[in-house]
Amino acid sequence: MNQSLIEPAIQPVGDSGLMVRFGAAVDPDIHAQVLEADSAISAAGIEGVTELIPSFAALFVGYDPLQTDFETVSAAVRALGPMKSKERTSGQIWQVPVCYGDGLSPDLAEVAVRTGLSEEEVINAHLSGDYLLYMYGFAPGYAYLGGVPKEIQLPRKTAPVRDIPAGAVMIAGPQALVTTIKMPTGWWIIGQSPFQFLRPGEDNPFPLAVGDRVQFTRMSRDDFERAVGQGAKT
Amino acid sequence: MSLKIVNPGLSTSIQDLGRPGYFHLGIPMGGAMDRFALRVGNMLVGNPEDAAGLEAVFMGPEIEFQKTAIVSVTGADLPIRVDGQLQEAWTSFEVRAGQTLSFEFLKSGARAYIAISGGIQTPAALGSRSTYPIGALGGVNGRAIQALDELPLGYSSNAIAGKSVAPSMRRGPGSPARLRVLPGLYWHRLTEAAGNGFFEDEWTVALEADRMGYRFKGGRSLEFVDREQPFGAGADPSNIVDGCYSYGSIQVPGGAEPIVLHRDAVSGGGYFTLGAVISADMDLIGQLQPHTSVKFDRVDMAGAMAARHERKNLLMKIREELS
Repeated sequence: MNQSLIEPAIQPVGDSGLMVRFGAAVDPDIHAQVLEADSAISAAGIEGVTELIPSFAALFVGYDPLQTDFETVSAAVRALGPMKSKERTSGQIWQVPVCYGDGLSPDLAEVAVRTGLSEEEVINAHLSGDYLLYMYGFAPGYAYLGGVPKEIQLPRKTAPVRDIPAGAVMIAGPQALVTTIKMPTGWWIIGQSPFQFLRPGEDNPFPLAVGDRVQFTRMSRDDFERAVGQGAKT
Repeated sequence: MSLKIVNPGLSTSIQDLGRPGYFHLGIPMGGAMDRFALRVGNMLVGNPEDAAGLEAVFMGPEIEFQKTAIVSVTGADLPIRVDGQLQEAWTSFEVRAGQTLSFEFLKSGARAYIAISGGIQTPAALGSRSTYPIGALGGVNGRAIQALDELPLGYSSNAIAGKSVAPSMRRGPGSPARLRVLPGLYWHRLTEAAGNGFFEDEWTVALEADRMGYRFKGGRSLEFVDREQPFGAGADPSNIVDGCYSYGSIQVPGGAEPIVLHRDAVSGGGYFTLGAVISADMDLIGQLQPHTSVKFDRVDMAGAMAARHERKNLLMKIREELS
């Protein structure tokens, strides 16, 4: 057994859930353990468990407190043992086109100033990243990607900006995200994408799965306008 | 069509018991804020407990019935009239085709539930008719009801007028309202004084109180133990590496004012949660108006489970009495 594997910490969350924590950082190996626990707990079919929600470094396990309790569920989770980091071979790779430019990249200049790079260097760094879908959260279809290169990692803005439209390509620290609906955000908006992470009305409104990978590709303004005009999903 | 909306009130939406199972994709469970009131309302009119009804916030709607039905109103105290005639709350009554259901000004509570025999039969989205406007799911085309909307009703054969729930079995918030809290994941990040202050202080419901969450103000600001932020987390001491939130979780952005996440809350984000309101008390939050006084009471897991069973037993008792 890999010596680096440690027993996850299990803590109650209210009276109907518990958190299985594997660490406290954005790290692909920690996340692989989260996903392994997700599938192991799902396969174990623990009585009374109603929901499994993976995030960066922890798995939330929701249960019906009238059917079971914290002691029973945490014992069943512990019995599954430490989670190995599964080889990540199954994740699909998605190409997500991004247009950077006038009116589409409101924070690009500021990110360049704060990182000491040129705008073009910021764009190239963003395009060079290898992104992993760690979790959905915050709002429907908000796919939290990790893997922003170090040279363009910035802390969030101190105050959120309201009414950021869908399709905004944003970064904050090691995280990246493409918005799906109008929401406030404190992240840095560096481009716009016609790619839809949320597709209401389709059989599968969430085409990307946690564990999938994303590569951003550069899109010209003409192609972007055309894609938006055609109601692109890509 | 069976119900014609003459006036929607302030914010009236179609709600059932929600759509569990999509939280990992960022879709909250949603559904009635006061699930107890909707369940009991449905029992009174002979519906399945998860049938869709109307959740009216602060003000009632005005509805013209195009078909005779049995109706009940539970939850907030919003005096009820049928063609001007006063009706009892928590009691089933008949509204005949052509009559109009309307309401007077709110006396107490925040949300009234209108259950109608047969249930509202608008199309379900992801297994529920509950309105979730942010995701444009459920309700009437993904939104709250508007004037001139016409809502279809299902068929019902077992509803009768005059069924009533004894006042001792109706639930509502006291004054000050008391919400039981299980300290949780990041409780240790608060200083001892801040932790004690959270339970000692009297809080009031802020204006930012809706289906996503209830904000509370007036207590001491919550101070944090110094520590180094983990890689990937935001810079504010209340930031964590983004994780999952659960219903009832209490988050404190900036450490100033606690927010209890409710039915339409987002499923995750980068603020830490200091604990959770126990599931048995979540319905009470749905009945709190802004400016209401609130005290948080510390409980342990055994206390939370006992409260949960007490709630289950009360529902069973009402179910037996009404069947």
